[in-house]
Amino acid sequence: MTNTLTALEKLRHLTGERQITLRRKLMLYLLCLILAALGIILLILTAIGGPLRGELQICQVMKQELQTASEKLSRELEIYAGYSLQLARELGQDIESYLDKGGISVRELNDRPEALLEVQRMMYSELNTTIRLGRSSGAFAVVDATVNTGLPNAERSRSGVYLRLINVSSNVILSPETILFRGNPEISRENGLELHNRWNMEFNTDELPGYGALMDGSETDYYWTCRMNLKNTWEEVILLLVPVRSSTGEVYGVCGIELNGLHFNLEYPAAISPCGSMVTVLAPAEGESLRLDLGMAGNTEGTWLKNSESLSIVERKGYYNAYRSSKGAYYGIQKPLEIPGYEGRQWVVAVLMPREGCDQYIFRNRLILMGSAVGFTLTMILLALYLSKRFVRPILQSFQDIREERLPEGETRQIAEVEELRQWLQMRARTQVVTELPPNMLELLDRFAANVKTLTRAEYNIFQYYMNGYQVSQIPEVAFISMSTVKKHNGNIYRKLGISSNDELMVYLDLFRRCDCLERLQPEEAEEPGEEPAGEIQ
Amino acid sequence: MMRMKKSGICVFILLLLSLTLTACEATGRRREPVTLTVWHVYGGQTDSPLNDLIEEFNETVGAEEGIKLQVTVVSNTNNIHDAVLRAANGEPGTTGLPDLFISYPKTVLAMPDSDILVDYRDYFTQEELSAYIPAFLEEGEIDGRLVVFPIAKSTEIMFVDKTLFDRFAADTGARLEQLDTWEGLYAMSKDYYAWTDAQTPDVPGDGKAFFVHDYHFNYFQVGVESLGASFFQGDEIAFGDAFLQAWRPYADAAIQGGVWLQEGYATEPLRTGEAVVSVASSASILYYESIVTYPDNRSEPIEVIARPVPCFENGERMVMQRGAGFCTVKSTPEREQAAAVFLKWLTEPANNVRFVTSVGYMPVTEAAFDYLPEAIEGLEDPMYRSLYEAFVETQGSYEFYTAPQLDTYLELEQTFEKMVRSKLRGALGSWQSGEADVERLMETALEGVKSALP
Repeated sequence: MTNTLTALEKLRHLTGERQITLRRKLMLYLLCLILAALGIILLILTAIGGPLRGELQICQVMKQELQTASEKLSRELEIYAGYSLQLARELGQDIESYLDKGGISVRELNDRPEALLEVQRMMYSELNTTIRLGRSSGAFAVVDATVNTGLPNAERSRSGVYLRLINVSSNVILSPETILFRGNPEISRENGLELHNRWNMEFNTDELPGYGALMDGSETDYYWTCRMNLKNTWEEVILLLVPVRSSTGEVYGVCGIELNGLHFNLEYPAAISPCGSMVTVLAPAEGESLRLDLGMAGNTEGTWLKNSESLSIVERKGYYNAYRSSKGAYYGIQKPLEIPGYEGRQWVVAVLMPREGCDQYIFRNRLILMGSAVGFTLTMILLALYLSKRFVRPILQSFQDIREERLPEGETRQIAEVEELRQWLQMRARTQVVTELPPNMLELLDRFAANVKTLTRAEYNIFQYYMNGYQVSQIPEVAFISMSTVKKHNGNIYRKLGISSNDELMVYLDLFRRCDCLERLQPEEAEEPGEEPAGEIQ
Repeated sequence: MMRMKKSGICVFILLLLSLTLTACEATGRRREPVTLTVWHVYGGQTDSPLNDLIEEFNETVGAEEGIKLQVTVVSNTNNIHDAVLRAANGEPGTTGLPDLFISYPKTVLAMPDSDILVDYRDYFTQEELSAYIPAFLEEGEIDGRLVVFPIAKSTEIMFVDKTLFDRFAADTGARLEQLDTWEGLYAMSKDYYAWTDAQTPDVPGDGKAFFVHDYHFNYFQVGVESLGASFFQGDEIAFGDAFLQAWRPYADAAIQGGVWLQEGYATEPLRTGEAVVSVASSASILYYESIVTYPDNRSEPIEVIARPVPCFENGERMVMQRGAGFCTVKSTPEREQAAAVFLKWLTEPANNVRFVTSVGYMPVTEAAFDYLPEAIEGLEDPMYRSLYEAFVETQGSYEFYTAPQLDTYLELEQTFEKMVRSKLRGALGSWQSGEADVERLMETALEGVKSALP
């Protein structure tokens, strides 16, 4: 156990003696500086916004959601348009066939309740099929005639059927229950339907935007209206209006389907992201405004967004737009939707997120990065301070020692360059000493060798360490004696050898070494074989 | 120098800490709303007064507490009943149960597991619950758990299209007081059919119905009970003498065209002028309009008045107490608590009275009744004022009947309702085709109903 400890101690001593070059130290120091600089750059980048910023992450989430919503919406609206066009074709054929059979024109349907009821029966059949296949929440058809032209405002009253789902939230079941919103109550009785709580016999054409333009031919193609409230109900819809034509192009009326606000709400749930809920919106765009008050909002869960507000783009940021309404601020992106809008309106699909949540996410993100960068920079700076201190201190200490000639001969510094400098200075000093030797040097050496034999065994042991190149400060450690003992022996050695300092001793030893006659410095009793200096490490 | 370096480091660390604290503070301020979905019945397809109140809640208490209610269905109890059961059974195509839905106890009883509903005792203290009328709370208790929370209670009321009635009365001398008894009402129904048929002598058999009842099942149930007998015998209907006493005048009038027998709600024939008098939930007032539309699209303004429901000449004055309540589906404590916050707000006396008087209901707390007279005085719509006068009269002179909680109740109700209308429609058709033996038609129809019941 003792041997192991001794061996470890020796190893530590040898390791401690290993010299590190100034270049290596400086390299390490510079490396720390470079890392600290990197940390500062990262900090600045994070603070002013850089490739790691949260905006980009938010933008990516928004883009993905917008793409999904846009594709789904386009597909759904295409299906609705497809079914509505098909409905218009079928109704056109049915009505044409019925009118031909009776030899009457569409205008002659006016004031003919039985004929209009028959037309409504045809409409019901087609509408019912459209709702079931097209999965819309409501479908309608209007013929350009009224049951009673004698009534006030009869020119705005038009016969037709409007079927709506009773429960929009369950519209995916195979046989959804429908309710009669507009039409002859006879249709409801014949088909076992309830009348809507706000049922009316006929349509008011004021509730069908662009009806007049479709009938007089100035509007020729189908289009989507803006969102409107179904009169006296809590429901809001966007209508797709398609002209119903005969084979010769005569317009009989209009038909179409509804996109229900509630249906939209259920079909487009809010997407939950780390920065809050993301709401899908379908709305007309007007310059820098997103007219949500005329469009549809998906589920607004987790936000305070209301579809009664119009949003304005207040800032086009790098990755997304900043929107503001009277009650809130949002970030979002939008994309034009290729659907025909009433009066040429351009529709867009957009995804919106509450600005507050996004800002907090960005701030948090930035703070984490900044914190990491600050921590890193701080660590590097502290490390650099420590290293520079470690780097400079021994140099300064060495210079101080050299200046004050405190460093005993034989003792070495850890910095190679400093040690070389010190040895060079020592060598120069020795050269000076040697050149000053008196002419009777041989006599002095002989006397010195003779005096060595007067040393006691213990003193010789210490002397032997000097011969082997050890410094005074190293001797207590290797000889396992105290410094005071060493000093005591040193005093005796100096007295017996007739010298006054360690330097003088070193000069004598150096001279014997250079003359290759160190063997002359042996004690009388040291010639006995097997004896080792006391305290020598085994 | 060293001191300066240390100070710099301290400032740096302090800056970092303050930034972190700012972030924590900002995070603490963030308040995304807890969004609850709601299915309710207050408004049907019309403008919903409850939706307006929910909007008000969202903008006031909700905004403060971070709660937002989102209405996704406004329908009638039948539709919500179907939707709830489909969702509770996990049928394909359903959107899942909302956080809050309106339901009668019968719907909860029909659910596969009523444990998915919140027991309101977990969110209301005993003191809070003591503010509610005990009978209303008892109605919402199932297996010892308060799962249907009362927010408004209704009763059955008779609505009369007074414009049409006056026209009929002017010709025939009919009096409104005759509508105080079922016997008088049914006799008048037959007279009305004959009178309307006589309006167009060249078109025989085009008379119109006079009376429509929203829930035939309720008519028989309350009628039998008011005659001192039990409507139910165990889980089945007891077709005893009292039942026959209720059946005979009703079937007699129905077979001879005086009673509306089509499917659907009582409001429909009143809106198209195809009936004059209805008995329905007081809540149906929301669906009556002040105009009637005829088949030729003519519209006529009408006056609708409300009266207490008729009773049998030798029976007690008894009326059905109705009114569904809110059920809350178990989710997270935060969401459940949010639902309770809304229900507490909605049943605060002032809010509750504002709500019930806009939908034709009665409030549910004792304190709210103190607000009621003032609220009634403030009602501008004469139809609503008439309703609340009838309400007050009903409260003062009628005994309220609450349907029992039977496992078979729902099935019995639905089958009975459908079969009574169907069998009597068949009998009416026969009568209109020339079958003169009304007695035999009545017996056949009743047998048909009995045999169709489970």
